[in-house]
Amino acid sequence: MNSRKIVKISAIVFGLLCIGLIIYYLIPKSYIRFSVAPKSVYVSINNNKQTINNGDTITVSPGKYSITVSQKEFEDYTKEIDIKNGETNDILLVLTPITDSAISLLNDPSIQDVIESFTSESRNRDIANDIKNNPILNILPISDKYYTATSCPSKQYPNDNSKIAVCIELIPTNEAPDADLRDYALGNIKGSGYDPATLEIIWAN
Amino acid sequence: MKRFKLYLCVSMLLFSVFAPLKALAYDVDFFSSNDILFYNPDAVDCIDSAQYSSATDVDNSADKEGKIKIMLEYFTGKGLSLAVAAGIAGNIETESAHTFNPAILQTSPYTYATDADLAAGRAPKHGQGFGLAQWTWDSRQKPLVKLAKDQGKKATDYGVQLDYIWQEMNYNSLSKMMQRLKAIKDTSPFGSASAPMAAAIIFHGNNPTRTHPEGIIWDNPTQQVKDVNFHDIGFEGSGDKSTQVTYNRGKQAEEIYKRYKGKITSGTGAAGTAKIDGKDITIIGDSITDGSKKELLAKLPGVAIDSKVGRQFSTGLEIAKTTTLRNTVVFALGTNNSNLQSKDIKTLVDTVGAGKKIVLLTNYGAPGAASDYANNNKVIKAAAQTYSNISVADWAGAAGANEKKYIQPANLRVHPTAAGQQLFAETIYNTLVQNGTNNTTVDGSNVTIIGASIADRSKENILEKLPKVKIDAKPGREFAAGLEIAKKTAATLRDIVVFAVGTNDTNGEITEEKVKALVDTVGNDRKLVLLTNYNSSDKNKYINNNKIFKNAADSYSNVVIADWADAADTDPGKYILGDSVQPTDNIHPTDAGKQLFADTVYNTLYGMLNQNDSSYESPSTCDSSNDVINGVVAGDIVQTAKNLALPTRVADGKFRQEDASPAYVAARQQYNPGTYVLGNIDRAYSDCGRFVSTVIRSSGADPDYPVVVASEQLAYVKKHPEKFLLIPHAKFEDLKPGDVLIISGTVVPIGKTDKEVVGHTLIFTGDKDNPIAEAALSKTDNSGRVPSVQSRGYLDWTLNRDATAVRIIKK
Repeated sequence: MNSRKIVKISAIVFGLLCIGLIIYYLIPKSYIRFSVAPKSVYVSINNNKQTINNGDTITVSPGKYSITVSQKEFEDYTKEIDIKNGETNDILLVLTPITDSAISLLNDPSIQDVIESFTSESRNRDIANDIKNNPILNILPISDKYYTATSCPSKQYPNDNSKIAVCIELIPTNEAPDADLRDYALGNIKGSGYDPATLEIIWAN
Repeated sequence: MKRFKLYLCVSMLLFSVFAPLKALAYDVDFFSSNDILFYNPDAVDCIDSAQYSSATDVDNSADKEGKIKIMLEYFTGKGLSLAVAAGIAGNIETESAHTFNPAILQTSPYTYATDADLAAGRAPKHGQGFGLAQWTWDSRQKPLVKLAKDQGKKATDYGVQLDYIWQEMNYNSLSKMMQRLKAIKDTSPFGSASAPMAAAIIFHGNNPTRTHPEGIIWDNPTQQVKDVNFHDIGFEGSGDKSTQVTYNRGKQAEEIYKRYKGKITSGTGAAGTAKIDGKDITIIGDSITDGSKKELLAKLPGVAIDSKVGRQFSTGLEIAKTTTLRNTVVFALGTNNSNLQSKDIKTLVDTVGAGKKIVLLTNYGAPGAASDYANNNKVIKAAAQTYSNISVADWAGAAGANEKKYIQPANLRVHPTAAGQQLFAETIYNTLVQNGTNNTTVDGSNVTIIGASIADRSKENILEKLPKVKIDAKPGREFAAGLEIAKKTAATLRDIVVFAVGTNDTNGEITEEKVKALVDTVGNDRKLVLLTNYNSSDKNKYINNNKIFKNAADSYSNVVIADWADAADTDPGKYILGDSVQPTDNIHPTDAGKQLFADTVYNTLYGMLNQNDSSYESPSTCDSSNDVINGVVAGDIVQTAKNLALPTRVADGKFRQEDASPAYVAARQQYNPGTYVLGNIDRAYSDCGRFVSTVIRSSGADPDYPVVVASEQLAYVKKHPEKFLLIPHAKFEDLKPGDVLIISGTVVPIGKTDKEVVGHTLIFTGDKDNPIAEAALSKTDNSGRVPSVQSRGYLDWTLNRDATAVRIIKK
């Protein structure tokens, strides 16, 4: 084979490679990355079932998917996702065990980071939502010698679960009248940076 | 003028009519059924301040522990028992936010009244807690100020406040409290409550006339409160619930009592008058010991003394190797060689064994002696810093204080005079009293085991760990049969009874009544250890037995669980004879299991006997005597946690190294290196387990604490009862500063219905606004956080998920 032929073939191969790469990059695709416990699960994506291990990433076309994660002796988990071209959708998931042997699968050290991370993220979401809606939760409950203050359902907004009231219960003392105790409780709350005037205070006694 | 007189008359008439109503208006029930306590705003001076005042002069500069000691001496000096003094101190510890600082103000965060505040009348202030007992209202603050004025001192004077507490305690309205307190002796029985616990409850008060369901401690009273059976006003009468009074004030009282038992004598206020004998003590010495034999035997009857003129330190080591040593070894050598080295001390420690206490005497050479023994004494004092079981009796300091009196003028200038010999004996004696003789050695000499087949098969392993234990174990024995044995041998049961039966009883056969009968048989003066039951193929088989055992441990202060089920469950295939080995077994231990069974019993006993060492705890103040290196405070978990964590709450998304405090970065790199790279970012700085471990390892609390993973850390603390006190299902009122919280496993959170799988750990600092320090790992969405303090909501989230509180036992 002479050198011209070699050059030609090389050019063709290179060209095909480039075309292939261009086509590859032009095809829209997205990624789903799994952080899961137990470490091996079944994943059904639009009814196509496959085995996925913790840490795996799969490539899919952009679009909406119904993803069901399952494993024997664990409760199934289903999530709808809408994933755009080029995006990576992280699925952090700890399946709920049904049996003792399933619980023992979750003791695998290799997935403890998933469990701790899941705990942190779910807690951060819980707390952040609660506190965002009701900053007074930063200091509740208060258990003082002369009163207790706890969060309780709002009477002003009985149908809005995101709203809370502050229930204050005085602890009667022979050392000072209740009026002083009320001022004392409100003064403490104000001293902590929360204006009682902006709160729904419910006096329990 | 006439009109003025008319106004005056009308005013007086109105005042005379309405003034009593002012008092009656808000607490009619209380006034109608009780003596009036404290509330007398119109007659704050009606009590003669000087009546109970003793114008106590105390060292106001004493640190927290010094102030506790002063308080105990003060109240025992008033004729009360040490248990009662500790009960008072346990309450004051809570009231003063663990500081015992008489200037503390109820602010957020806590602040302290200055002289300027006192002078300007800014403190004490009506409506704001002040001082040791957090006196809040004028009705109690004004008499305190008056008392201080009468004594010519400040209201923040520690002695003034002690006098004021005593003054208030002697009001007529508290006469029932005082009557009960005065009757409490250190050994008084109160069922499940110890004497200090009972005193703490009574001093707090338990007033049945108050109507607030949570305002006083009779809401769902704990067993201790029931057993104390006090239903009247106490000094405190705080809003604490029954459990809070028991777990906080009561337990603090018990810990304080244990620290000073034998060091402060009830009813005298005197320190160092406790009696100890020499039956558990060996002294190895030279001519100085030899010459002081008579005095030593007088101070320490029964002591074993091996002394000889001219003996070298190395000869003493040989004697230690070949002699049966008692639990405390006094090594009074070194005068015949001035080149003592640290390796000699190590040899001594290795020879004596870590389980025994060692007392080293410093050496003294008066002017003219061959040596001043500076080298020896340096090595000896360093040894006490290096080895936890070594303490120093400072003979050099004692004799050097008056060498003419205590050291013979000739005779090498090292030998004591007659007065010196007496001083020598007293120096050793006082050191032993101060440090306690070694009654915490776990050799089984104070233990009786009543067991069934598991204990029977593990007998050799148990005897190896507890060579002096008394074992009565028989295959097939049921709980009722074990109870009968306990009853028949009640007179000869030892101080600790280990009850290892139950696997031959099916669910329902062991009842709370039977366990109570066992507790009653064992008696309040003994400890009872109950072994949980385990079946590796049916883990629910003994769920009822174990629940009843654990309930007993919660209900009776002298009952402790040795969790065999939990230990065996860490690796059932390794520890239990399964189907493959012996069909239908799944209960009896393998050889490894026998060892584990013995270890479980031993570790539980060790943990019990060493609990009188106080746990690591740190209030908001930092002990300045501790070494602080780059944020790490030796021996102080709380302060280390607070120094390594960011001081303000950090938002989600701050999870990188550069977000963390420089102190934490340095500490982690030194004590807990390792990365956790995801998405090209090291997330290890936001890992909760790494943070907790870094704090525990760096502060020296436990250098072996697992570096990461909450589940592994939980397994580790369960395996080491000698290091950790565990409080399962922890509630807020159970917690003390320095506790580590761990959640790990499958839980149904309080208030929810669905199960969750969780894993997290954090450190409870006890601060009012942000009571925890923690980190939060995120694996995917970058919502992690480097260590920072966090608010109560984050703590509650964790407590709602079946948290275990881990308290580190101080070595």
